[in-house]
Amino acid sequence: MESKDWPLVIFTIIVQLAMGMILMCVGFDGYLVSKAGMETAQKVMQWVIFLTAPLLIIGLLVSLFHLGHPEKAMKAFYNVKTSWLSREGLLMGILTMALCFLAILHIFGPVSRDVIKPILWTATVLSLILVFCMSKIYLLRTVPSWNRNTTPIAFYTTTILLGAVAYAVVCVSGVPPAQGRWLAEILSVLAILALFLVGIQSVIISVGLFTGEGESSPKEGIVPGWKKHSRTVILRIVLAFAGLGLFGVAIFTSFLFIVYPVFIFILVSEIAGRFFFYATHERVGI
Amino acid sequence: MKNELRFNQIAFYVDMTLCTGCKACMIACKDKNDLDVGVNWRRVVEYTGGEWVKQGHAWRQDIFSHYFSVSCNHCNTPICVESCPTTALCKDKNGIVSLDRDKCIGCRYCEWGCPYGAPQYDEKNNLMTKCDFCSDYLEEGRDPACVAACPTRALHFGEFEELKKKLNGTVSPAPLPRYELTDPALIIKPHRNARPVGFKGGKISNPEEVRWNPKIGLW
Repeated sequence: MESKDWPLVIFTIIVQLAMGMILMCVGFDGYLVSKAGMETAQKVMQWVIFLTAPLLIIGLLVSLFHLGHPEKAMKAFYNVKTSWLSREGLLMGILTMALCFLAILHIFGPVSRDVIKPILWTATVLSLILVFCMSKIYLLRTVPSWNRNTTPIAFYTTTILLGAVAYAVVCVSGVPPAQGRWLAEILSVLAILALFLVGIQSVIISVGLFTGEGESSPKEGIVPGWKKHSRTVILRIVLAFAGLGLFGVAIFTSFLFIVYPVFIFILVSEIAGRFFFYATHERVGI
Repeated sequence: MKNELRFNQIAFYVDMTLCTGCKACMIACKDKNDLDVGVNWRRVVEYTGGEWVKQGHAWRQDIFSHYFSVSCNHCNTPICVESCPTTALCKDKNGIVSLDRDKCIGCRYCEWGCPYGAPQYDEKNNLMTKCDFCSDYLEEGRDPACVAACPTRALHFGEFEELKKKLNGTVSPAPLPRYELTDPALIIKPHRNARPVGFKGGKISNPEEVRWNPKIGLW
């Protein structure tokens, strides 16, 4: 893992954060409408759209820094037939355009939910496929440390976890405080979801560190990169659980502003996790 | 001038029993292709290992060391071609995996997957580079530079299927990867001390020459 991979770390995290927010927005929209009313649900949805569109654009721009020739980036769509990188790029472009279109619609005035919802649902499906494409890029048969069933699971958990904490921030900051029980309820659901996802990630980290078969069996019983970056993994786990703890404090004390540091903790934890993921690249052969 | 050499699938043949590790092939390749420091399309690997083994009441050593020359093996199922998002890498005439520099965007995805370290990054032009089997020489009916330079005749080239028949199939000794991964067009006559694929008791003792590149961080 060297400096040239930082754009990839930032790109994947930013884009997964945006996609997670879209998933949460669509997933909790019905609940919000029934509990908090149409106006609040509309406001939260608007916030999500205004945040995800620029995030996706920033993600795309950051990804260009990884290329030797960013000016030729459009050529990355040429090999959709076999390259997962092409497929990712194509879906990424469509998703960004869809969210930018929604954002522009909102800028020019109130938009009917009948217009927004089908586009957001399409964006949700695209996001789910895109996370799969992103993970498939790393399932290279010559890189055993990446070519594991846990890689797609890890990508999905990161997406949903980041989306959950970001959605909590949107709910807290996007609508007037103390709007009743719905906010506490929704934060509790998001906190339980986050706890579940961090639990899955902890299992994935343990499985990833100590297991493997044949050529993928880790040297000295541990994956490549562990010795050099063990502190990064520990930092990731500590931050994730600290974030969860703070999430609990925010809910039980009703000091809702605490969701901001929760988001920061989880975000930094996920960046550390992705950094370590790239550091574990070790292919077979010479 | 000789006639152009044509193949269905061109392949390298490496006789490990003859390779002395002189690196003439490596230098010839660098010279012919004017490769920059750190970019080595052909590399000579020194693979060593062994330890003290107890035999009855005595201890004996089973150390080994041997050389082999490796470059792009123009695989039949090349992971670099599958991965390349721009189609800059493709299987060319003669079965050569060739690179179109105009299409390459320098994403380095091909570099991640190739188990032979064949695609290498050119820091000056921000593009990938790789062995093209000296296709210009082949058009002139000449041998590739590495093959022509080998003083012990450890390196040959020819039609893959014919070489395979002549040498009773293919083997892939350590530290090379399993053959099935990319189906390389490479025939090896193994050294007597060659270890089977997946053997973990040896190491590449000249990694700076084989893997070193000033800015290829993942290595």
